[in-house]
Amino acid sequence: MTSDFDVSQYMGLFLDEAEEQLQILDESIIVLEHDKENMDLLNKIFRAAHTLKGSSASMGFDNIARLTHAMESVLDRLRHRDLAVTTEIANLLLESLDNLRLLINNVAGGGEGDLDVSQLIGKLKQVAQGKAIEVSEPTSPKTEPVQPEKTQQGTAQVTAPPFVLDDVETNVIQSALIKGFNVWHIVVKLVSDCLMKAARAYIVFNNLRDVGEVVKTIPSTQEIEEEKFDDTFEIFLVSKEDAYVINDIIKSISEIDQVTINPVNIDKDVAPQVSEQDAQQVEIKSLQPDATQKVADPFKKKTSEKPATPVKTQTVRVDVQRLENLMNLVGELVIDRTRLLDVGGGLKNQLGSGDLIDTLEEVSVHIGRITTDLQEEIMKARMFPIEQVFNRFPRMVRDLAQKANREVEFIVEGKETELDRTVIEEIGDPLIHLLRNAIDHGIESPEERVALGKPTQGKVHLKAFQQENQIVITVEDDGRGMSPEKMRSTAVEKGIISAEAAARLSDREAINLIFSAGFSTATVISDISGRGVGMDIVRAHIEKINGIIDIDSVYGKGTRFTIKLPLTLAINRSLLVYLREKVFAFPLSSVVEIINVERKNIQRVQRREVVMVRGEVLPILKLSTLLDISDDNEQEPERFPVVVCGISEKRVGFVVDSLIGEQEIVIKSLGDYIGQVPGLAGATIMGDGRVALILDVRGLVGQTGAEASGFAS
Amino acid sequence: MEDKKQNTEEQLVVFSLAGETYGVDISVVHEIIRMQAITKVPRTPHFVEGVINLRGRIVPVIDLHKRFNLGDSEETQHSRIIVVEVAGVTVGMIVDSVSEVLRLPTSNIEPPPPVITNSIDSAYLRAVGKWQEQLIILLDLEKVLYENEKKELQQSHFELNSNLA
Repeated sequence: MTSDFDVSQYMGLFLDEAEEQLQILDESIIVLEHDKENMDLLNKIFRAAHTLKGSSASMGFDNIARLTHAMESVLDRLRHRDLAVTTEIANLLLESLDNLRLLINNVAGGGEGDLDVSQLIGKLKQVAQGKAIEVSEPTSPKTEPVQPEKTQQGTAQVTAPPFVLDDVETNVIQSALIKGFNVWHIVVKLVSDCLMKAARAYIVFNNLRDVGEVVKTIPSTQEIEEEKFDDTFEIFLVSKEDAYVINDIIKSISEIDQVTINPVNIDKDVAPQVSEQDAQQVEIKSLQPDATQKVADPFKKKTSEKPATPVKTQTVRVDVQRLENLMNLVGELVIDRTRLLDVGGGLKNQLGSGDLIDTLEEVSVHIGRITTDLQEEIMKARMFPIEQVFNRFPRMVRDLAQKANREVEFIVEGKETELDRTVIEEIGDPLIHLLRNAIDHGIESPEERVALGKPTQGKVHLKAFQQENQIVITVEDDGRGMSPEKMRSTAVEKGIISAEAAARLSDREAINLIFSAGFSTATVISDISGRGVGMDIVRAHIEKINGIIDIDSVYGKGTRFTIKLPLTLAINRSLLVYLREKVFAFPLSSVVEIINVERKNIQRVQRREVVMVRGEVLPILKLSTLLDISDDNEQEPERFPVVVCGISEKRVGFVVDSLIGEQEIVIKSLGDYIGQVPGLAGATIMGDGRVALILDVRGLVGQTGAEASGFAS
Repeated sequence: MEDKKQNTEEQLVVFSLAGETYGVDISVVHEIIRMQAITKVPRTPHFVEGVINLRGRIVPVIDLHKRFNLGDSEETQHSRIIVVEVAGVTVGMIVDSVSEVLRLPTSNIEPPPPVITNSIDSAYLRAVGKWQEQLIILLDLEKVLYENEKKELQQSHFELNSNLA
């Protein structure tokens, strides 16, 4: 059904809308499975399918239209409670959804959406019709399968409904009639899948303006502009032309289904009749919602949800690179601000106070404030709600649970938590792995759970929230948990650590072995799916975005993974230190404390230097040695600051020359040419324009679990 | 080929390094800046001097003396950093001095002889130009930046890891 306009320009619009509707379908169908009686939900799903059908049909994507139509038929039966929501139907709907996605992706990629979905449509039809035979409904879509809603709405709309005119309008019409004009009551019905109803209506008005004057519309002009109407709207036109002329004018516009034109005759005698009709109208109005509620409702609801659409038009898609560039520019501004302040201070010293100097000072302070605000705004522009990632999980969890024969209640909290775009892009995969593991390896089978005295339905809890300068995401299950003993033996078996080292590990450290390379979870806890994703990869992913992942597990009770992420990748609170007259930055997220150590307190254990801190052994490393910038003939001071950093549960102290302080820094990569340097997370530009290096604590001490265990004792 | 004007000559940025004259194609040169504070980056190949702040960008800087094993360079007031962009990567190169921008007729440019100087590896050479009795060594920047560099980078990472183990 391609109309006379070029569809390609609406492609973006269509895809945006389709994506939105698919998302609604995705979320709602999952919920529906558990909340079978929820009428609102069913209506929402129906509406989404209906919208999709309409827009795809007007874009000429017949397959999508046919599939959504078939879905709609099933949904309609569900809405009328002719059918009950079963897992089978939910599966069928989800399958349709998947196919819709494929079709839409195909279309988006420039295809015609010509995937074969006839089999699926057949199945849907079967479901839709199967029970329809038993329940004899007058509005059964079976009789008019192409456009079920047409039959329902038809009766109400084709005949001119009674209308109500207020005093002013009655006056206008009366005086027009007296002057010998015709007054027409025109009912225009657009084709049901008209893409841009408001635009069509506008064209109708515009064309009619040539032959007369529109006195009134139902609904009001404004509502029509905002698309707050179904397929039909009414117009009162004062014109000299005859009905057929007007009919021709309207019919010449595309996507018009039906036009009904009736003369309006009001004289003083009839006027009371109008008010009589008024009463009648009230009655009909109260009737109409009942009769067509299920069809009309969706649109009413849609209008109440409409605010989302105007908001959408106010956003602009911006390349992240552009934001990055902006950020760089602001960074330069920050540097120049510092210099400006310096110059101002210098001038003041040289010349003493004066009007000009004071103004300069004022201006530079002001510029400083603006720069800070600017920086903040750009940061915010990069933030997104984590919803984007979380939304696809309910479906995934459901499918996984079904496949693994688990009963899982999936709870999601904190969807609205905002994160930097780049973090959002990276966090999806690790979370998928964690959820998959929770279902495959965490939650026991229903029988097992019963035997253990747990509720048959396991719980998987995904939660995101902000905690100070961090975003915390937890994935928690109430499944079988991990046994430290088993972890130890497996680690030894796989040659990750020696038996002695394993024996020395605390339970918590033993559980942390799961993050070691080569430690596949599948064989440790269960092999139901046989697809344990290496947790080392998960950790690597998280660390790539400057995050920390931690695990708590109680054997038999469940496991909780806690991921802590920086609010943004671009800015980091850091502890700046001096080392050989150079500035280095420790990400504050890894700094535990700062201590002063006297040389005489350093002891040697197994060729490693350690100090005792509050009764605990703390290994200390010379940062200068690690970074290969030590100077042989340098005099070591008697007392030096040590930055104690935490890597998971372990503590390591780094010897530095002196401390500078805490500062927010903009993280920049060292570039492709130098690439990733172990131990360095990047570089930053300081206030004086010099470059300081940002340390990566885990990289500094090496990554393997074996080494880590060396620190632990 | 010869009838196209732009092909009849090459525009070069000419600089000197350990007493010899070199040239790079002007189209890859972003800018030429004075020496400035370079932040050393540990655990990188020896010829990587470090990084500088080029108007808010972090740009790596290599020392061509060290790259070509020409001995230690001495920073003078003539020392410059030539910032080039090769294959999408911006890199600064420290040279002893930058003398001029030269238009050299293609007829004056020849493929490199097997051995022209014993100072630098001929693998880095693209051609040799003649200008007023002077030889100008035209560098193949992609090779200068990348040849063996990867190997060396890997090497340094490897050493590091073995040091830690």
